[in-house]
Amino acid sequence: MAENIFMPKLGMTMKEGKIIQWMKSEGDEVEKGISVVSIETDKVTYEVDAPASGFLHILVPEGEVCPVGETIGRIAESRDEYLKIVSQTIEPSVKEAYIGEEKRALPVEKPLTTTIVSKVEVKVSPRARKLAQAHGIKVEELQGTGPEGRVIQEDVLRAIEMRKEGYPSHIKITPLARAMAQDKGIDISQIRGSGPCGRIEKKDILEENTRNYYRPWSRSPCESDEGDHCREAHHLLPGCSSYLFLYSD
Amino acid sequence: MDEEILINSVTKTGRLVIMDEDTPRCSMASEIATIITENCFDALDAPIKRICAPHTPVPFSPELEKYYVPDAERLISVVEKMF
Repeated sequence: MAENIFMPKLGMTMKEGKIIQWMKSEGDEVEKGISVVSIETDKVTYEVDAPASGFLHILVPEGEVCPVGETIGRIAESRDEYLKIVSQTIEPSVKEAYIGEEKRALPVEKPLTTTIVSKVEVKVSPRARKLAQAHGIKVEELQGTGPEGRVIQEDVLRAIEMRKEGYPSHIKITPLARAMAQDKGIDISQIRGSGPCGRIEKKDILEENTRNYYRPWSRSPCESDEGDHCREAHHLLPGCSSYLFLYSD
Repeated sequence: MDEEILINSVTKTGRLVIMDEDTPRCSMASEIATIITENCFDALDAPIKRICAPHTPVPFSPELEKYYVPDAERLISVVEKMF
């Protein structure tokens, strides 16, 4: 069974970290306990050790920043398991390198998407699992926010709330942000969260809100007088009674 | 041993950390951890952690004894990792 390498939480206030360097390359055999990747935060540079021995599969490349708790790599126990993981992950560059080495035919690729989809073994706490069963929620769809990426009760409760409002259960959002989104009528499935593990926070909702007001301005030039702006804005966003006037070049 | 009070508490909170000056093996800490696991496994949101002294005799030197006895710092670092 493959082990996951997580972005570690190195302090109470740490929200994300940058991957500086992978000491081992894709597909390399690693031993448990050796340093495989070095992570940088605003306070410290830290080397993460391999949690198990096996073959390394990199999910997040060097130079990328990602939130605490996100899976940044996987270690497969055997070469076969490694090949299986690689073929499930949508990473064409990795596949090409692999094809070159092994000269084997791979299963047909799914169309390229912007997110990497790989089947991860989900760790679930017993409390969360029981709650999910009682409410009919699939724990495999949830991303955990507990230590080692574990799905905990909090995640299941959130999923239940999301389902009540008709959103798919995998969107993570803070309660305040959800209330704000409901107020302003924003569709949260379109927002990308900036909180830990991709959680949507208040500032993401505010950003999305100003962006919604901003759209009329990209269509009307700044030279025309204010009257034109008002009329055009009214036409594009009927029902709105006040506008945030942001001027840009 | 008042098992009920322990079970009620863990059922409410979902997490447990046991701090004991004894070694972990066959100590009161292991006993409590086992009672909880046997009786309210489904209520746990994270693995039970024991903070105990290492598997050595108590050191003579006062400096080394400070390492031996579990202290507040260790408790804080273990609890932080549970969330």
